Amino acid sequence: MKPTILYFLLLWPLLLLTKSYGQSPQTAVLQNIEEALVDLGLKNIGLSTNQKQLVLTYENTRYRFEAQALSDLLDKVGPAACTHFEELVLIGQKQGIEVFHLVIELEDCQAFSGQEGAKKAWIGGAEISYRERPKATTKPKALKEKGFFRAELVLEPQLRLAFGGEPEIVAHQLNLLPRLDVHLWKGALFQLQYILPLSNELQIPEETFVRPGRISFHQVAKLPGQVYSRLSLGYFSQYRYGGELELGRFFFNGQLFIHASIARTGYAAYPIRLKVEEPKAGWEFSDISSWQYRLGVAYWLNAWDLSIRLEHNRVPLGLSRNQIIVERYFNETKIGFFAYRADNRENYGVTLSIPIPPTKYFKHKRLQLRPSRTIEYRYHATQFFATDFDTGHDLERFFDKLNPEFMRRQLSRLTN
Amino acid sequence: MGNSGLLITPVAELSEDRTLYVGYSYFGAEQRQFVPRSSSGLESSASRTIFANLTFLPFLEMTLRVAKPYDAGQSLGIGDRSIFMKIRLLKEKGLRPGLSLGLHDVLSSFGAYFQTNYLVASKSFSLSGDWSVHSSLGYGMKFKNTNEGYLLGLFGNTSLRWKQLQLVMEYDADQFNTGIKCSLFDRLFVNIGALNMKDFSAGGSFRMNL
Repeated sequence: MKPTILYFLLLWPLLLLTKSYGQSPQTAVLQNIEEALVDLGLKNIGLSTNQKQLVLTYENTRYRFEAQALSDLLDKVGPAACTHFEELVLIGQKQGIEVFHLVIELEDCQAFSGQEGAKKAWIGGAEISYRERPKATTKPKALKEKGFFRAELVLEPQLRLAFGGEPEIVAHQLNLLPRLDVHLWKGALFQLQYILPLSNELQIPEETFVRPGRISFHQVAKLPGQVYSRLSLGYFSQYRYGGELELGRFFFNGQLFIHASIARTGYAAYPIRLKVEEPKAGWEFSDISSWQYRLGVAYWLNAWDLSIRLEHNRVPLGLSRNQIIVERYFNETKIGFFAYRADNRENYGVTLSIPIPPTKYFKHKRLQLRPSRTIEYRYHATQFFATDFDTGHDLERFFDKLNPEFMRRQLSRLTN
Repeated sequence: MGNSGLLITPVAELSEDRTLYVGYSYFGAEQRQFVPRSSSGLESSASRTIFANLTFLPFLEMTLRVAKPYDAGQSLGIGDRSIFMKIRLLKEKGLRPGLSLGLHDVLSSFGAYFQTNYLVASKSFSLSGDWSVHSSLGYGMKFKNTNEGYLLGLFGNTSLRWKQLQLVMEYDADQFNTGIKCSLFDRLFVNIGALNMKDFSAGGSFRMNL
C-alpha cells in the first residue's frame, strides 16, 4: 500500500470527528440558528449572510399569533446573532410569499444581558414593514422545512343565534366546520369544508344535515409595488359558485389598504330540499351568469389598533350595499361594529372574534390537526340581511394581524 | 343602567381604555320607566338589565344592554336590546370639568324605551385623606319622536367617596335616588339603591381589562 493511501485511511476517521470543529465560527452559528428555527416548528426556513448582516426568512404555521412566533424567534436567535452580526433582517412569509420584514440592530448586546427593560428597548427599535426587503439584503436560497404540499385539518366552530322567536326565546345553531387546507405551492391553497350540524334550533330544514361547505381553490400572488392579487375558483358560501379576482395595494406601510374584486357566479346547492318530506341529495346549479363586485378601503389607526373599513359592493341578490366596519384589536381579540345600507334598508350590529386555545399547535411535516385560530360571531340588530358570499379567502384575511405597527406593539407587549 | 355613572344618571368620566364590564341590574316594579313595555301591558313588573360596557376607545364607551320585565315571558323575546354610546368631549383637568356627550338607544325606532341624548359635565374635589366628592350636571333630550325615554331634562348627581365605597345621591330629571356603591378586589362592583328614595334597585358587574 502506498504511504499516501495509508496516511489517508488513518487520518480520515479523525477528520470526520473533527469536522464540526473545522467550521468557521460564523458557519457554526448559522447552523445553530437554523436548527433553532426548525426546533420552533417554522417552515420555509432560509438563511443568508453578508458578513455583518444576517437575513432569516420563515413561515409560521405553528403559532396561533404571528407576533408570538416572531417574539419566540427573536428570543431563540437573538443572543447568537448578536455576537456575530451587526444587523438582523427577518422576512416573514405567508403561503410562501414574503409579506413583511423586520430589521433590528444587533450592535448592542445589552438586550440579552438580563438587565430589566433592555430587551424591550431593543425590540422597540425594530422596524417592521410591508415594503420590499431592504436593498442590502441577500436573498436566502435553499429553504429548509418546505411548507408546500402539506395539509391542515382545521376544526372551526360556528355559532348562530336567533333572538325573540318561538318556542325558543334564544334559538341557536352550533355547527362544526371541519376544513382541509392543502397548501400546494407558493400562494396556492385548496380548501374543502364540510358542515356538521351539532345542535340546531333554527327552523331551517336545509341546515339540519351534514353537507359540503366551501370547496375552493385560491391563488395569491405578490405583484410589483406592494400590489397583491387573489384568484378564487370553486363553490363558495351563500350557495354561490364561480370565480373571483381581487387586487389590493398597501399604502403608508399598511396604514391604508385599497382593494377591489370582481366575481362571476351562479347558484349551486347540495343537497337541496324540495317541497317534499325527505331532503333530496344531489347538486342543483344555475348558469354562471351573475356579476358581483366589491370596492373597499381600509384605514388602520396605529394609536388604537383600530381598523376602519368602507365597502361598496354588489351582493348576490343584486343589491348594492354600502358598509362601514369599525374594529379594534385587543391583542388577539377583535371587537367591532358594523352598519350597512342596501335597497334603502339597513342593518347594524356587533362583530366578535375570540381566539381559541391552544396558542401553539403540534409540529408537523405533512398533516396538521388544529382548531381554527378564532371563533367569529356577528350580531345583526334587524332582520334585513344583505349578505355577500365568502370564498373562504381574501386579502384582508391574508394580512389579518400582520399590520406592521400592530406587530411591533404586540412584540413589545410580549417581550419581558 | 350599564353605562358608567351612578344609579341612573351618567357621569362625564369614562373607564380606562380597554376596560370591559359585564353586569346585571334589577329595578323594582314601582320603577315603571325602567321597564321596557310591550303592547301586552307589563307596567307593573320588576325588570332586569344585562349589559356589557366596553371602553372601546379612550374617548368612546359603548354599552350593549338587554332589558326585560320579569313577567314578560316570551312576549318581549330576549328583551329590549339597545346600544348606549358615550363620547368624551373634554377631559377633566385642573379647574375645568370633564364633558361628555351621550347617545342612548339612537338606532332603535319603535320601542326605543331608553332613548336620550345628553351632555354631562363632571368635576371631582379631593377632601382630606381618602375622601373625595364627585359631582355632575347634565341635560338630556330626545331627537326622535319615540314612545319612551328617560333622563329628559336637567339631571345631576353627587357622590362622596371613601376608598372603595361611594355614597350617592342623584336627580334623574324625574325623581331623586340614593344608594351605596362599592368595589371588591378591584374587579367586582356592587350597588344598592333606593329609587325615588324608596324603591329597591340593585346591580353588580365584573371588570376585565382587554
